[in-house]
Amino acid sequence: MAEIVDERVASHRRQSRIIYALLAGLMVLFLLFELRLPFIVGPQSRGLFETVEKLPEDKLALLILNWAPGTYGENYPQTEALIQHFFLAGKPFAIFGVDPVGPTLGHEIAERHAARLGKQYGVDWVTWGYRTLQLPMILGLKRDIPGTIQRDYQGRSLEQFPIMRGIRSARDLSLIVDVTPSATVEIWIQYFHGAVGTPVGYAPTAVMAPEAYPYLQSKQLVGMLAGIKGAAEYAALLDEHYEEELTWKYPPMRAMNAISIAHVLIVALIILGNYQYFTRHRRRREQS
Amino acid sequence: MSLEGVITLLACISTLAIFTILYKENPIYRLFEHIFIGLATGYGISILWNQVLKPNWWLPMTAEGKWPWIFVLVVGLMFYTVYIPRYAWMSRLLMVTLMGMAAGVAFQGFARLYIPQLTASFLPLLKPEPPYILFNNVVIVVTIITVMTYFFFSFEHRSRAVKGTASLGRWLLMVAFGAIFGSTVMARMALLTYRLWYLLTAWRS
Amino acid sequence: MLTTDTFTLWRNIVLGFVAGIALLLLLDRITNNSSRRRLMVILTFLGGLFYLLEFVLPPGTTLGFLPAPADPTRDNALSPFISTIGSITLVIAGFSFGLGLLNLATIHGRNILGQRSGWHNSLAFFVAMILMVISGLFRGEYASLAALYRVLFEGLYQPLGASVFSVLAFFITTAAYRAFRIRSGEAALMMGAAFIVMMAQVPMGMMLTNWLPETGWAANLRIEQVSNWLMTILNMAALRAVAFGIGIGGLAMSLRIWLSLERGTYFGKDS
Repeated sequence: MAEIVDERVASHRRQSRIIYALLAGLMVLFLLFELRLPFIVGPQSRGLFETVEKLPEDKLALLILNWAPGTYGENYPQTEALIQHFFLAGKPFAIFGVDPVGPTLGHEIAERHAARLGKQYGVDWVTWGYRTLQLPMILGLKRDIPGTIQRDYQGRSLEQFPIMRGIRSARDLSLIVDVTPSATVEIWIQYFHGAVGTPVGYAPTAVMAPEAYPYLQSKQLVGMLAGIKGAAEYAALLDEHYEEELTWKYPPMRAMNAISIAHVLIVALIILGNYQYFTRHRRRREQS
Repeated sequence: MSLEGVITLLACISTLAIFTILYKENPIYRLFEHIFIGLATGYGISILWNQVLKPNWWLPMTAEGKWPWIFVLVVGLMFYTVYIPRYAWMSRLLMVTLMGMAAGVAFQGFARLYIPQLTASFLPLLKPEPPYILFNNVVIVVTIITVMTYFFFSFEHRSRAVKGTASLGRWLLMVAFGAIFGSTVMARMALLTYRLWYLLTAWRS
Repeated sequence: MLTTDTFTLWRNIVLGFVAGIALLLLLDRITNNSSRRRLMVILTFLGGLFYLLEFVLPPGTTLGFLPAPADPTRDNALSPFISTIGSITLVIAGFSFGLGLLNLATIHGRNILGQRSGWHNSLAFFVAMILMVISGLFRGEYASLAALYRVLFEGLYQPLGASVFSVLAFFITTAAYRAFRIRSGEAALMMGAAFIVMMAQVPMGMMLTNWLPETGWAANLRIEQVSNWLMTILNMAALRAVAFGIGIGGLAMSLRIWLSLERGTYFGKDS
């Protein structure tokens, strides 16, 4: 009995390694070669894009980055797309987060694109940095931004930055976009959109995207970038609307091609696995 | 070797070290896993001090003369009484106070999150809308009612009407689960794609 | 040089700390289990009551003993305290980080001191943590620490974090082959929806129905349109119903916590 179990475990391990190698090999192949495949932009990404285009320039957009390196593959291109859009459209924004890493990574992205596009810290954008997620803090933020945040990520008083002049409360925010792998967007919907009507956009990982559709239907969200696909759609919209060359540390369209083949592989494996299972099942029934 | 070169080399080594788990459990994976936890903890501490405690507590207390902020430290230390059995009740005192505050905040959150959801669920079913919108509205309302019936555990589903409704709700819920599964696959693949892209392109920059 | 002002400030800080600890010790002395339970109930209720009242009291409402709001069109008497309490809870929450840190340090410390199997991994944990803390805190002052910070953050922390989660892609692929069995009608429906959503998300999948016209009734049969309908109608409605259940449950739980009706580790007797 023990030998049968050992043989089965060894066989499973062999199968797994073949599948891993197949997946990695196919994805590497599709990453190496750039393919122009048809791609259609969805209404959710378009909604967020059009909202950003129409933002007033005397208010501040808030880019909330609640992600960590674990979800780099999805949240990084989303953040990069949004920051490039804010810069190209000339909309002032602040970077904030209730995760320790997100604002740091967002600031690095903003610095890189600011250098290329001639934007200035404190004038075109500001990084508030990280604060612990506490509901009383959120209420304070809604009511009194300078009193709650007070300083930027380097400890400098917010009052010295031209971008923060006239920004007192949530009423002075033009848009909140939450880039996150968790459901933190509900906080901004409850305490900002629900209380003072601030528009809220959402850029979740693809896992969280299905749960956001109720908020899209009730218009509590103005738009959504669903995972890497949302980032690719946003990139396509930026390409369409702006002549400036966009740069990407991790190009979302190239990623979509590799993900395509991975999805085809998964579908094929599900079909193959079920075919083998039902064939074996029928053979056993015929024998018994 | 330049700093950038060292960073790139380390990044590639770390990625491959984690990927060794795909072959089998091994000491290299364990070592890098522990290094990751250590770095994450250390990063959390440094960011917490630089961006939360120092600007919001230390500087107001020491540089701006607001010495009553020291009482916040005393309150914060109550968390640590959980390790001293005699005083452990103090940590509970602090926790329940914070929970009470969160509960109070949650009431307004509930009103602002769910009431718009409720009003958005009351859709026209008979008005002269285009046929496809009427169809969609009917599907939405039927789905919400049947799925909510499925989750009603306060009474037993005895009658055929309730059983049938709950059963339909379960079927419709499967569609949502399928959508979640499909999205989850894309999410995982996106994370892998990024790491493979990095391994392929890191040396170019 | 220590000025009189600095001396006075630090004297007040130290005295304040000692007084605070003394107050807590006094509280421990003068209370028993039943009075402590009553104190917890009162503080829980007051904590929640403050925010509930701030929400329900109309703008311009004054409470005799409190100063009138600066902007009566928007605020009531409790509103000015929101940001102060917010800042205080922010800092208190920051202090709670040490609990997790102590826990990790205890576990790994025991491994090293007891020379248990894999103790060198625990040593690596401490070395990584200490290096990250030092470089993170002082990188602004020393160029060498700034370089070390970059090596640790960009060379190790980010790639390790991204890689740990990326291996899930491999596991989901083997699970697709081994575990996803369509044994019932419901499973078939779930898999059907998953196939449509998966293929509609990617360019290769969109190619399957690219030959259909972009306008007219036939356009609704394009895979991205079918997927969009599944997500915005069926999926949306089902998850909204689930959210209602969660919301009502959450509200009931909040009420129970606020009124101290809940029993458990934080709300019951000492264990």
